Amino acid sequence: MKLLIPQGKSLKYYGLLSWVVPGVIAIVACGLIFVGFTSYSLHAEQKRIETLLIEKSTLAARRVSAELLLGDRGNPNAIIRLLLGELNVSGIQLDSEPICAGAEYCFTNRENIISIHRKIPALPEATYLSVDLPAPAWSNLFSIGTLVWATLPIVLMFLVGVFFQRYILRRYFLQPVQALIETSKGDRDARDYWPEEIQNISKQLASSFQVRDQEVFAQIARGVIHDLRTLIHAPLASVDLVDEVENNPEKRLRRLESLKTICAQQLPKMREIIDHTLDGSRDVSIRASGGNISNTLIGVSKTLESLAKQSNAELIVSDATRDFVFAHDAVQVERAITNLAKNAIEASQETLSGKRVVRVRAEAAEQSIKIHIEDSGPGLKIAPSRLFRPLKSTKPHGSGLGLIVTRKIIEAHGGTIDFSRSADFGGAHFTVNLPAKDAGGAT
Amino acid sequence: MKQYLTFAVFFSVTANAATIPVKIHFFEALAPKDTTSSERFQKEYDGAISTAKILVGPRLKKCGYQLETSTVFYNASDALEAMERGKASANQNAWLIVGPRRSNHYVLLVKGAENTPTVSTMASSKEVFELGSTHNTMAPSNAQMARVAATEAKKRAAKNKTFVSLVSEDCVACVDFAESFAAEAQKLGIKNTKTFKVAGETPNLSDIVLDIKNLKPSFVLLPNYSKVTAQAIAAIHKSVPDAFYVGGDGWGDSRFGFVQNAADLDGTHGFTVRGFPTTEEGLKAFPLGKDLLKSKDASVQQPGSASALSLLKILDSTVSLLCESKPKNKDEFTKAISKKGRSAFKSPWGVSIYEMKSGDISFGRSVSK
Repeated sequence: MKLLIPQGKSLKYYGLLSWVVPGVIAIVACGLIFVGFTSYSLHAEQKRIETLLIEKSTLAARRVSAELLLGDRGNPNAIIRLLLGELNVSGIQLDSEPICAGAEYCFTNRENIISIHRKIPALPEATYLSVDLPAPAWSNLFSIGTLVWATLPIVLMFLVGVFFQRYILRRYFLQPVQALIETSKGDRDARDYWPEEIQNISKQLASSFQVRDQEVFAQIARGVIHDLRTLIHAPLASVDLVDEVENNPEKRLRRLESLKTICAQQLPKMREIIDHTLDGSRDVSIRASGGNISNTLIGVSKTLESLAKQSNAELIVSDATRDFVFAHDAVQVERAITNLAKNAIEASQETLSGKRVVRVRAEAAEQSIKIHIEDSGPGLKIAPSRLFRPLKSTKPHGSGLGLIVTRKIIEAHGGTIDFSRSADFGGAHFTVNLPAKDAGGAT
Repeated sequence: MKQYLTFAVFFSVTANAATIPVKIHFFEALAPKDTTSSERFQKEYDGAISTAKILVGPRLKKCGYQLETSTVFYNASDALEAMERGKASANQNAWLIVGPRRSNHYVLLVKGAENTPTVSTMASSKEVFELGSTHNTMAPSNAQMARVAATEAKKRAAKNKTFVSLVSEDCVACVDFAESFAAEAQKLGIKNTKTFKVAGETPNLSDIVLDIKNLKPSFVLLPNYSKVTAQAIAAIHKSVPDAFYVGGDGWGDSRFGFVQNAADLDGTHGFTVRGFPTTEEGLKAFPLGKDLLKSKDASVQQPGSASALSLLKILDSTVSLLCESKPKNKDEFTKAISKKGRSAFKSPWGVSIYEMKSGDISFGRSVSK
């Protein structure tokens, strides 16, 4: 069928085709079935009439013969008149000349009449008899049976139409639209057989995705450059200060200590920004091994302890998993939870009233580990579905890739992240669900 | 020597005790499709044959013969079958074929069995009497019956000396009777105003009845078979309540026929002529009949119809002929009949007049013998 249907036409063309082709098939099928059925019926009716004629003419021939054998006393015309009514035929004639060449009887068709011709038996002189019946007409065949046959092509049309339209819809509408999604990832080019409109949409999408990608990369680059520039400013300034007191070893030493401290603070942040940027643009690889979540939570607590203090937020970390062991990449999971908790601490800065609280709580559920990260902040300011898009950071220094990386880590473990409002603190409530089985996803 | 003589006498006696088989085939249109007959009539027909065989048996045996009978019932609407079966009977070496009662069937039968003696129980048309000396009938001729009917009609129903006929043109005997009646009536000064011709057993009579009403004849001649007659009388009576009807030998009788059993003939009246009296009267007219009346044998059945009566008489005459002529084979029998001519099978009954009142047909009187 692919070879028969022109490729790359418009949607309107394929829509029309999906109706025209089944319609044509149905009309042709209707016509063929009707002609075939009617011809068969006509033929069958003709045979039935011929059989009837044989029967009636046999009776008529014998009755007429008996009358002719009576000679002058016989009245064949009276018998013929009688037979017309008794046998319900349209005509009976006597002939002196044979019509059938040697055969016992034969049929002729003329002017809508079928006639049988045969020799009258038992007569000393050859005499022949013809009996007529109306020939079958097309109009005689219109009956319930014909109507039933006539509706059959309509059913056929419906079935063919459904099949054909399904095919057209699938190949020229649904598949191309589905493929457009792939196109958005850059994994698939438009196919030649797609309708023109969809090919155009595909090209436009590819172009806009390209533009958007460039925008995204540009924004990410701007963000990263800005953040790195900001962070590198302090170490550079400290280096200048060290150079200023080149001739004063004591002061130099103090300034070098200060440079070291500043570097210790700023360089990890810079590395984190670089790591996030890299991870945001590629698949995260995990190395799963058996362990429990307790160590992860201890790591999170240690990493964020100073940030929480600086932010004047209370960080509560609790573990209710009872040393539940499951396969996971402890480093990556800690990174993901740390990121969520860090966001929570930052969000708690905007606590409207009461204490600033962040709680990280792990619990074991049926075949999964749930880690709840709640804060007392104002809650999510944007729709959750848009949270993991790049460039959607709500922080002054952010590429918006942190949550993307977090989601990638959790999804690499086969887990999910859910969002809701914290019932205890009123702010955001993130729930990380990690399946507690062999991840098998180490790549 | 004594032993030889004893043996010779014994052999001679034994040889003389062997009887000559005489094949007689009985023909009648009594097939199930026949609308004017019934299974009852068929049973009576068979009963008449077996009664005759019982009664004639001893006499026949004494003469050195025995009957081998066979019954042929055929479809009344297929008259050609009478000819075909007649031919078959002739090929089977039947000495005599008895029946059928309808003239056209009998004529066709003779065409198939020209060289075999035949005798009809009741056929009466002119053609029957022209078939030759080996082909006979027990009935009087239509001419005879028509003469009696015309004379009676003049006496009883010829006020204005006109009549109309309604004739089944597909019935040879009916047409023949009508012609004979018209000729006789003319001699008596009665005019046939009009003859209406119909065909089949249930013709359309509406226009004819209107004409009859307008013509106001003294009587209506209906020389047709029973079913047509009954329909015609019923139709005419509705428009002409006081019409008088005259019939030929086809109206049927008190046991068989459609006139007798018609539901809507109240108030009608007329008469018909037949070649036979009542069966009881008829039996008294010939020796075998008298023997039957005297018989106390339970298996002997009294004939219930004129046809059966005729059949008995035919067998009686056949036995007489056999015993008289002593033919040894069919050819000799045929010659004997030929020699005897019409007197071989002569009717002892003449013409009888039957009265019809409200559809009921009853014997009136015998007019001539």
